[in-house]
Amino acid sequence: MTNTPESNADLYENLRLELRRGCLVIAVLGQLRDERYGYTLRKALADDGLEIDEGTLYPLLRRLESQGLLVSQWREEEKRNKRFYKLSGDGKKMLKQLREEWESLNASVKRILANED
Amino acid sequence: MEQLDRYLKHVKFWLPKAQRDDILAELSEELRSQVEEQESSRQRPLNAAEIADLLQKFGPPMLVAQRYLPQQSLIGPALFPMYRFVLKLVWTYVFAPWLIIGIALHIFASFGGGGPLRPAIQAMLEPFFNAFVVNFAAVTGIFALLEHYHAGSGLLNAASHRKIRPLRDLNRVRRSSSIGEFLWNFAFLLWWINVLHTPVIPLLDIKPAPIIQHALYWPILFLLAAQSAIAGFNAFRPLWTRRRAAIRAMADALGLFVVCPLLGIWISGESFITVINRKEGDDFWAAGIMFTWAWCVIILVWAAISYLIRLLQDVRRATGKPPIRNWALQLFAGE
Repeated sequence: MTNTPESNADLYENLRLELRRGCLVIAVLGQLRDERYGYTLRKALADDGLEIDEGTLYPLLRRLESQGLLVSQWREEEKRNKRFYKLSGDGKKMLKQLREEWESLNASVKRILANED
Repeated sequence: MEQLDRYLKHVKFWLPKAQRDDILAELSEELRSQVEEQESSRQRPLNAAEIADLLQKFGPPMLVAQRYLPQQSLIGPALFPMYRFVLKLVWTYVFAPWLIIGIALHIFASFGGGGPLRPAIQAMLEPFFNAFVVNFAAVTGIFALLEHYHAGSGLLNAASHRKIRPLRDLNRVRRSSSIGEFLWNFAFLLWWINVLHTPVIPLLDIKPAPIIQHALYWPILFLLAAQSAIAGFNAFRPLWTRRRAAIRAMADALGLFVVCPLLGIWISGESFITVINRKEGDDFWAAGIMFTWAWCVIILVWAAISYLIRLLQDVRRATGKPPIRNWALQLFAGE
């Protein structure tokens, strides 16, 4: 079965999003080594090349907080109430473990792709 | 920011109650930050169209709220294939015979048989529709309950690969099936040639109608003899050969040739059995006779479908192709 160029483009987009989705948690935990609120977190991720829409980010932040990896607090800044997030103690340990796993995965995939070439 | 407030009000409706205010405050802050950023880059306040555009990119309110809700389904992906299978089973085993019985009973509602087909079918539709809906609701309700409790019950984990039955070879005839088919056809043959007699029911006499005795006597006799011989042979040689499949295909065609005129007789309003009730006016006997007629019709319809499917499968065997593996076809074909 041969795909049309349009369906190939859609397929690539779906697979690309799937690939990026797998990196979100570690990226968010990594950025929250420094305290941020939702909007600045999203901007920081985008500046580092990982665009994420707010519909994905905010539920993710809530989930990570419910899992004990983040802590948050409401604070007033520039006359507006904002919710600031940062890593908890468990979050820091988890980030360390995930980073090791990420590096191992990265090395494996590099080897596989190098063999193919 | 009236547009933002209206949008957030719609989002709020779909949010989980416990965290509603908290989530809404966060989303409101995100939206206002985005508006500020755009106003800062344009060096002017945003107009209504621009704010509408921003809200459209943010997403439909229900979708935005849905991301905060736990993932739920009435019947999840693990159980859905089983649910679909049970629905098919109910509709095949319950509704098909139910519909046939209902039509047959309506047609033979008055003693003496016959009656127009169309009003009988129309009279069937309302109760049929009600039963259809009730069955659908019952099956869906049961599976929704299973979905709710199966994770804790370990229902799906209980299946072990050792308990799974081996795949049946459709080219091998089960010996029990061959013996049963032989006995049935042979007994019917003996009855047909008047060697065996049915038990006498006092005051009731059931015979094939004269039209059958005259026009179909020899075809029915050949059919029964052929079916008995093939079944008998299959009992000793259970693997189908192309030659034997071709012979049975011819018997299946003969079976259709016999059954179709009988169905034609029924549709035209005539009867293919003669029932003499020596106790006229007795409601019990009248009901029993109507029941007998109805069952004859059901058996004929089943036989017609069965011969057609068997013909299809036997032609495939005779031409070297594998028979179609489908549980409904196997059921009708008696395999």
